[in-house]
Amino acid sequence: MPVLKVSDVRKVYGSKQGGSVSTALNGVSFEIEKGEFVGIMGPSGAGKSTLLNVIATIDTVTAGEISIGGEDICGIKEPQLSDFRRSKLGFIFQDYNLLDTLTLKENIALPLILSKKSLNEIEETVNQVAMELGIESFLGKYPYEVSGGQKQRASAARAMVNAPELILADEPTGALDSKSSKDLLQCMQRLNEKNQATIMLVTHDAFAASFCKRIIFIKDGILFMEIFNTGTRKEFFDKILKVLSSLGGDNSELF
Amino acid sequence: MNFFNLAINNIKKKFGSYLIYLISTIFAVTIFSIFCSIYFNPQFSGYRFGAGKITVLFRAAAIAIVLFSSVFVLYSNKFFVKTRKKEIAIYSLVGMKKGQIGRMMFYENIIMGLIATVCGTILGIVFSRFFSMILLKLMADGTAVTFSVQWQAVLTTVVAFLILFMISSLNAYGIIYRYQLIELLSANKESEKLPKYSVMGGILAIVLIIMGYTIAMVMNVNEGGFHLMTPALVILVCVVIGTLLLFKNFIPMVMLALKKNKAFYFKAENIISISQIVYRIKANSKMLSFIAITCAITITMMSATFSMYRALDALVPYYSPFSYMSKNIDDQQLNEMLAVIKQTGEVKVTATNQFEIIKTQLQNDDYSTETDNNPGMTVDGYMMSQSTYQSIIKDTKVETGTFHNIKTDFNMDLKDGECYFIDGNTKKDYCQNLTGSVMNLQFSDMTDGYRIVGVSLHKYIGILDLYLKPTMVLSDTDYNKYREQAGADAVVSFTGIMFDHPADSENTVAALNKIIPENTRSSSTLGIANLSYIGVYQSIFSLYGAYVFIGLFIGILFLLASGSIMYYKQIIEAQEEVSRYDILKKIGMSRVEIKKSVAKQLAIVFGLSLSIGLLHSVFALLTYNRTMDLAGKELPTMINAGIIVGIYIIIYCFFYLLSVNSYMHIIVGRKK
Repeated sequence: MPVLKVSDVRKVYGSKQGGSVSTALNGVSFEIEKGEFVGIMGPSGAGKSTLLNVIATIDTVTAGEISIGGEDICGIKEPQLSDFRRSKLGFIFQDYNLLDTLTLKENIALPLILSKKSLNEIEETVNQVAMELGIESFLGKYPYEVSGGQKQRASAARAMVNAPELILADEPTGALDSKSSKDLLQCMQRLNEKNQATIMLVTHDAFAASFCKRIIFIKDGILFMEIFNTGTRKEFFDKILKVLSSLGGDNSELF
Repeated sequence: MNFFNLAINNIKKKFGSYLIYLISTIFAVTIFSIFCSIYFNPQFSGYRFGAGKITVLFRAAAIAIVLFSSVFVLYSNKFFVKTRKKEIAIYSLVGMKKGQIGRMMFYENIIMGLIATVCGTILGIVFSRFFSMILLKLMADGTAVTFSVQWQAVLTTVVAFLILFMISSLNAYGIIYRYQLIELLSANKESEKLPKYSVMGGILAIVLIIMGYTIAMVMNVNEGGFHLMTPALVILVCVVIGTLLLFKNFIPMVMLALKKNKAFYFKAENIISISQIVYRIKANSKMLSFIAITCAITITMMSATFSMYRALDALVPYYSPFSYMSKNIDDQQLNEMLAVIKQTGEVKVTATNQFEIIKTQLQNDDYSTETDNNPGMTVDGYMMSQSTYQSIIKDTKVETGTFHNIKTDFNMDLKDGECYFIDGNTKKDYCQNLTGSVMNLQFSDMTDGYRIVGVSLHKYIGILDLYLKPTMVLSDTDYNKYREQAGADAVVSFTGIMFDHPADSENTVAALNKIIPENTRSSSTLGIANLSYIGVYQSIFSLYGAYVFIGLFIGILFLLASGSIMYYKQIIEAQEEVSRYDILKKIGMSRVEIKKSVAKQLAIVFGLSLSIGLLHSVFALLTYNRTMDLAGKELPTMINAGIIVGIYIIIYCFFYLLSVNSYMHIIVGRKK
């Protein structure tokens, strides 16, 4: 059974107000199996963010179905939706989204605290996850005291501390320098291989995407192409660049 | 489109967000306007109490209100401008000149100020009638309020607030010059750091507050007036600085300690609220201390005046034990008086008592008056026969009690050579050890010693001729011995009349005062020729009524103002927290959990200042109660304080709930 199943999802904006209608997603279908590391790419305005938002249950679909872990998320209402988000999904954002009033450790522990886990379990899980991401020595620091890369790794730790079905990463390397980007992506790759974490990475950075096993390209709200990593990362990177240039248009944002 | 139009458009389009600022400024203007209307109303300027006019009281209160309104308006304005930093930055980004933005902000603020002044003044005029009625009611005056617009009041209000709004508008004008563009843009993202507190400061806070409380509890309230100034000032300084340090150091200390307690801290509703409070408390410490101190002042002031007012009824016999009393009246005059009372038909006479006392001089080695404090001195006093005193006790229905200004414990039968000593002082300190000693009575050339068998502070003729003058009650035989020798000058005679309903004797007393010539020799402190229950009743009610009115008025002003300041602060914070709660929502914190967390966070912030304020006022009231006890007035202060505190907490809770509601509205939006 796939972890994520997106079938014929459509998202239309602006129809309710009676203004101009714009279609962000126009019938997208794909599946992600457990333990996959999938990249979503596409030019600006292709519908990447919308897709992420509807999968993240932050936005609703106009038509179609999305199921995560076999559960149809379109039918869930608040407050069950919050519970669902907390237990089944993990998020990594471009701008870290760490609470600056909390230490890294507290930030990472938040989903566990919200799930009312015992103190011992929280301590144990947080330490273990921090170890895997190599931030165990910064746990007591506040976000403003550490570097962007460390912040993003804390954010990744928070996303996976609850052992979610699916980790959603939205341009996680967007604000990082190349060294930090590479470190983070390697961490994510390790998590994927070692812990069988299922990760969906939305990016338009070909370098970041090259760490994935599979990449889905969207354009103008529909699925454009799908490519698989069969060789080395370098080969995959070249492959991605080729697809991107074949996507047409001006790819100035990539080069 | 010029900037004036832009300013007007701004107000029109975003009226909702301007509304809160407008409401609070209108409120400030209204309060001031009401107060001015009463102050300038000629009906009230006529009231006198002794040498002072009621208006003097009102003038002092008006200054307090002006100061407070200014602080309040300027504070609100600061918050209002702060919410708009980002908007100002955007205007600047799109190329508007600083001067233009400044002018636009100025126009906007001055327009709002004008609206507030106009609305507030009109509301003030409308409500001043209502408040005048309350004041008259409190002053126990049955006359109707004459309603007229006091132009002087309107002018004062308008001028005062135009100046105030001018200042705040200039402040708004200057904001674009005072901040860098980047500061305006990222006003919400200023990275605040964890509070640094000093343990010394925390300890000092506790020490200062305990010191203040201790001085309040042990200070000798017997020494009246200026002797109390020094300890009172020390207490004030201790408690105020203590409170400031408490919020600056001690509370962050406690909060950080709470953070260390993982079992408590690692809970969904605790982690966010506590971390948020820790993060902000130092920046908020001044405001929270201000609120706590205002709360303490308000509760103490309202409770004190309210309980004083509630005890006024019991106070009247202290000044006037008889319903009507006059001096040196002969039988013919008395008959006339009784006829007038009957004719007026308002009240019935239940008793008449004509009695005499003889002027004399007294001396005891341990006795002194309060004012001289010179034991062994010779004091002017009176002597009175036992049967006279018994008749007064019977007629004025005196209760039994020791060392009390309106009670006596005289129930003995005096033997020759014994006396019962009635002290003219108000406190028992000068007479409580006299029982058993000998009081020397000096009359013409004789000096006779009488053994004191009992002592009292009973003011049997109220404030007529009795100020600081002691009276010796002698057996009838002893008394008559002196009476025979006493010249006409030495004997003072009094006529006391008791009515069945003294509180309804207004017309009767007025009629009586017409036929009884003003007795210049009766030097009553109230300046009333003939002492009557209703006269005393009205004069103390008109004074204390004004006191309690001002107390309640300022109290309500303080309460509403501190409530709105707290509300503002929470709104501003909520706007800065939006992004944080967005993250929390994405992590999967549900609306209910967020609400719990917010409710808890605000409860701590609101509760902290309230409880510290309450603690302060408890000690203030205990001390107040002690001073009052000594004057022999038993005030049920604590019960009355309970009522006030109850009302205070209810209104304060209303602001709390309003804040939670608006906070939620800002961070998660309307419930879908």
